[in-house]
Amino acid sequence: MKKLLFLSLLMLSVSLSAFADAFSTPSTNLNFSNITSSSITLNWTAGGGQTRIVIARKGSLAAVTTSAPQYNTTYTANSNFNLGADLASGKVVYYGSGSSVNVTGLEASSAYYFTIIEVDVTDLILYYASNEVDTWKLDGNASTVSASAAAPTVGASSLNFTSVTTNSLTLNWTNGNGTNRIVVARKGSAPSSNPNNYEYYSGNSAFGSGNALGNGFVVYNGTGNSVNVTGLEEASTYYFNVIEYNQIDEEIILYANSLKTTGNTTTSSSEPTSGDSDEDGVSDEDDEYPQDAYKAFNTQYPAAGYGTIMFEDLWPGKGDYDFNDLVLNYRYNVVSNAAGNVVEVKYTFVTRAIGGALHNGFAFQLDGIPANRVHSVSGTKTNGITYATFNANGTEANQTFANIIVFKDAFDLLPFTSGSAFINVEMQASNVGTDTTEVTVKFLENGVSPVEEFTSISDFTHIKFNPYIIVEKNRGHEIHLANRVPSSLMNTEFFGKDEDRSIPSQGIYYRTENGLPWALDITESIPYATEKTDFTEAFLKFGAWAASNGTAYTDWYLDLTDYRDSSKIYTK
Amino acid sequence: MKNIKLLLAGLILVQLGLTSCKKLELEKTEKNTISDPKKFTEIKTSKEFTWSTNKTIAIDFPARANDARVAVLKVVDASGNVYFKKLQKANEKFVGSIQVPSHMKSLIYVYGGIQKEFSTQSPSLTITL
Repeated sequence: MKKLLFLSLLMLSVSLSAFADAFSTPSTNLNFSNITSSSITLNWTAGGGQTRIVIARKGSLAAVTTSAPQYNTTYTANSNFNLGADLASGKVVYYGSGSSVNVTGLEASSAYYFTIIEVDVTDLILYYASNEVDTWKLDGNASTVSASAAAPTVGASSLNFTSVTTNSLTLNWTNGNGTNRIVVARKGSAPSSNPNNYEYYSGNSAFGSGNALGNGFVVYNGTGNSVNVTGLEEASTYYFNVIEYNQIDEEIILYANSLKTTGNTTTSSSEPTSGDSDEDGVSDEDDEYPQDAYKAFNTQYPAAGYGTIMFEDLWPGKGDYDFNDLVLNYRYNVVSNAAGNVVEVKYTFVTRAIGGALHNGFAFQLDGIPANRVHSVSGTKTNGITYATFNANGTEANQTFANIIVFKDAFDLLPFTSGSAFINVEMQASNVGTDTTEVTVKFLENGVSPVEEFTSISDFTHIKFNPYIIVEKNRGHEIHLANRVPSSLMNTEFFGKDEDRSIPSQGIYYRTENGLPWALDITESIPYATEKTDFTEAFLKFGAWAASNGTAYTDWYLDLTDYRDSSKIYTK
Repeated sequence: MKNIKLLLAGLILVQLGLTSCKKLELEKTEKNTISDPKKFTEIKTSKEFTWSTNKTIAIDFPARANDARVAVLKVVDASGNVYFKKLQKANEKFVGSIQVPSHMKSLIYVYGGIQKEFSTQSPSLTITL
């Protein structure tokens, strides 16, 4: 009997000892996150209990030392502070085996105290550690923020990079409405995560020295709007996030992650990305003349295809406005060098139609470019010309600016066909094809200018190209586009005659009283009107475009629905 | 007789009112309609109108002190057609202009690895890197 009693006491002791072991490890590392004006998230490291209960109380700790949870009593838990069971002057906000709970239903700007008690369940009986062991609970507290505390509502913007070198760059941005902001940088791809609310991240502009975040580093934390980031690797792409935040107090930091602004840039390379065979400073990859140190780039006008020039040739008298007395397609390729100077320009002129009886030559002036700056001109069709003389470089003599006569007479280029006085403008007559004239105007030969002056491509825009016809081999009789200056050899006595209302002193040239021109330059290759067809009847939006001074139907020349009357257009 | 006079006077006033309304309506229509001449000689333009199918866009590439980059500055369209191209040091200023077709709505500038689309509705472009 004594032996039986001894064994029973021994078993009870072992059993109680087992409980004591389980409960002797309370939960640890209680911390708080996602604190708002009405909620707090608790996170902890689970203790030795099978489950645990969390009691929350506003203002002070739950009175668990005097009103501990009762042995084998179930308390209804609810993460909404107002709905949990009453216990020890607090509320039961959690019961389970996990390690976090987001407690809601809290009051703003209030301190809440939390107590975690381990629980074991044996044979359906609840054992609370508070009833069994000495070290049986974990306490902690946190405060909700005021109702007005919130993350910024305007993110940073206008992110841009300056002073980019091989190992540093300056990041600039426009601030949002946060009290502060952090900049996270990552090499190779965008930062993989955002900052957490309530966490402070130390920034350091030396890449890699600030706090780690999102597989990158915080390179800035402050109130400014720029940072010079150093310690970067050359020829590498870095990605940046700028995130506004509000610092409510020492602990409360609210980030506007959803409003972050992002950007990336690549640091310079100390070596060209590819070889530079001609050593002109332009890598072979970018150089369109990789074996020629004197040339680097092509820039074509128009950027694609051809443009169209059309003339009426009865100036200063008014014509029939079919704009087919001479029709040419054109394009030119400006070849420039690494220094940005024009090396040469290759012009292509395709003579398409002659809808007039006058023998007209075609020329162009390079406005503002002195004739002596040209090294040479080649490819023109001026053999036997009697109405012009030329400088040694091929430009026309006695001109202030460079003038190039492309051909002396359009009728030299396209043959007549029987049954028509004109060429390629009447549908009933045969089409005789076109003629192409390719003219090269060189400015530099082996990098050398004839007058030690260079023509920058910044100056060589389409405005310089001033095409005109020379009427009936009369050198002083030029017809240009509206408001384009004539050459030095123009006979100014024509101005003001007949329908012309040029006022040279005001820069007004080749216009009628109503502003009508004698020539058109279209940026695309377009068809032209048949003989005697009013241009506005062929191109149906042209009239509205012109009458609006170019503001309506800016695409009138495109082949769009209802934009052309094909019956009025030469289509052979 | 007096009633007939009054009736006639009323009719005249109504007629005048209708005529006036008609005139106002006509003026309103004219103001709201784009002039669309059907003959070349019916066109009237301002002295400033150049008849150009291009528009000019000024380009400003501001110098960036201490920026060691050297790259090709290009202006291209979505099809890759080149409107402008030059070697450009980031620490040197460049000012120029390009002419683009008047119907074009946007283009792209490229500098090194940077590529940005811009509207051609504005007459000027400042390159930001």
